[in-house]
Amino acid sequence: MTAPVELLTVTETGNGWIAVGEIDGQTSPQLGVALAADPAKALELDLSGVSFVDSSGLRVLIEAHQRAEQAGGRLTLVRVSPTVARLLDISGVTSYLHVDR
Amino acid sequence: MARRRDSLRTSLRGRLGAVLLVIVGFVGLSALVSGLSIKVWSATLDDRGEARNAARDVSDLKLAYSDQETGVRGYQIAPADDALTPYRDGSALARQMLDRLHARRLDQLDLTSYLAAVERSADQWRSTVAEPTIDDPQAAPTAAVATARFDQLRNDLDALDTAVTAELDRLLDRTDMVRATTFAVVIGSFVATLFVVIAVAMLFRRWVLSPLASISSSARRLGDDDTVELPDYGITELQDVTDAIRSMQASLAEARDRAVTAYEGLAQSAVLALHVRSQLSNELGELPAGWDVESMLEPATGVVAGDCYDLGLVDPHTLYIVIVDVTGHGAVAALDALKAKSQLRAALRSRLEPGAAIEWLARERSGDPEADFMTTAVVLVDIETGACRYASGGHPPMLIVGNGSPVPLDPTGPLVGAFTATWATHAAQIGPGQALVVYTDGVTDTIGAERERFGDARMIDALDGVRHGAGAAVDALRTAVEEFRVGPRYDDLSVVVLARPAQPAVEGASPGPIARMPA
Repeated sequence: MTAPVELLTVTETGNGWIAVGEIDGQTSPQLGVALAADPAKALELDLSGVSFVDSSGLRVLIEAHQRAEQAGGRLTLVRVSPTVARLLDISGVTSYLHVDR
Repeated sequence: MARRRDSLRTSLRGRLGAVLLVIVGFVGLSALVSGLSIKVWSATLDDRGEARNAARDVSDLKLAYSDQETGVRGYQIAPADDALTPYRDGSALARQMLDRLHARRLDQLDLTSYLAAVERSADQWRSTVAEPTIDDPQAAPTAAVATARFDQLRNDLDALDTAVTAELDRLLDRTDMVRATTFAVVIGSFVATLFVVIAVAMLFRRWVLSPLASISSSARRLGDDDTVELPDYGITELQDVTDAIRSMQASLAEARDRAVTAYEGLAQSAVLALHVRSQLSNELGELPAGWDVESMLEPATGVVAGDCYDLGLVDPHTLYIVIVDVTGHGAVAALDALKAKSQLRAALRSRLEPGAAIEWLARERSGDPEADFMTTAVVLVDIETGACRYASGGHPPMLIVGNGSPVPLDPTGPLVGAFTATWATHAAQIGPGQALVVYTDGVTDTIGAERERFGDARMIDALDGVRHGAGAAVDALRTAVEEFRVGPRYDDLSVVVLARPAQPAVEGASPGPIARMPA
């Protein structure tokens, strides 16, 4: 039997998380659970290893951003891959989120 | 149905244990009785054999004394030493038989007194008749004396013989009786054991097989009627099985109720979905001369689409296109999309510009807690000149294709529902022979082999067919996506292609190059 492919891994770091893989309708709940912790802190989400984000993943990022803002924290998207950066641009949300390319 | 009280219920293990004890006790008792009977029979056979031997000894004893008497009388007639041989052999035989008889142990006969009488008479005959005769045949006692003495001995021997024979007869009778009794006990034990086995089998059938058959039958009937009442049992283990089936029955009933509810809801949703689906299609009547439009909406696998588009006339000269993609799928998302589409159409018919229409929509949705994030694109097209005014709320870039490289129409604001924002209205131009393509990200995000995405490049290649009309372009795109796709469709696919005729419909209208320009 072939082991299921891990579509997304989210690893905690000292100041946030590193996500590797794809963030879509299948995997975005997993990222949402991880990002739900400690919204009051200033944390970073490293997206350098993310090859794809769809509207479901974008929704998770926006909701995490909004929770952090409401809780007095800050979620910064760092080392954003070109693919993800393009999605953020297309969706018109780059200027609304904290993005550090 | 009355339920048995738990206190009246006993375990199958206890019942079978009690039955086993009864069987073991009964078989043990039967074996004991049979063994004792056989032992008594065997002892009786031994006694009978001893009595038979005693009878033969008595017979030999009588013969021995008779030989002695014959020898003495012969010696009296012809006094020669050889004539005493019968006397001497008889004496030895008599002594041997007497020893044997003294050693015999008969069941209910004491030979001692009989043997003592015989020995006493024999001694008297020997001392008063035999020995005087042997010592001096001429001085032998008279025949009358000799006969009287020997008759006494013969009488005692007959008494002994009669007693032994009577004992032998008694033992023969007793042997027959004991044998019959033993056979009766053994056969009786066998028959009784057979009855016990049959009784146990009947109890096993009553306690185990019949209830199991009943439970099995009831469980099978559950397949047709899950309200079937299962009976109670007096046996703990069977009751446990019944309780487990009842629990499963309750779970099934609950699951059935949920399924019925879900089915009814689904049926209602299906009606709603059909209604929504009919509303999702464009409402355009007759297209302006030469304009060609084609669209497709393929919902994600197993759900009602959360995509929605509309195309129609705001006025006789202006055509609008609205497309909405609500995050999520299903009836709720479809209704949300339908509502947004209606709101945008109403805004456009109120003469709002596309950007203002999206802003108005965003305000309307800001107070709706059920409203989800959505992307949208709104386009107004002058059907005489092909001039476009458009706005996009985070929607995948619309494309103008044909006659050169595709021109993307980027968003003019963020997706709707996430932020307080404004949406600008931009301008573009659809030249003669060109087409405006509006789509949702379900097209470009379609997953193929190795999780590769369909992407922009494949979509643009497929849209090359727009030269043959909007329908050809949509068909080519649908075919390309379906051939590329591996696995279920995870997102809705929506495409609207609006193709402008190659020749201007309105004299004087200049197609000019395609260009994006500020509104």
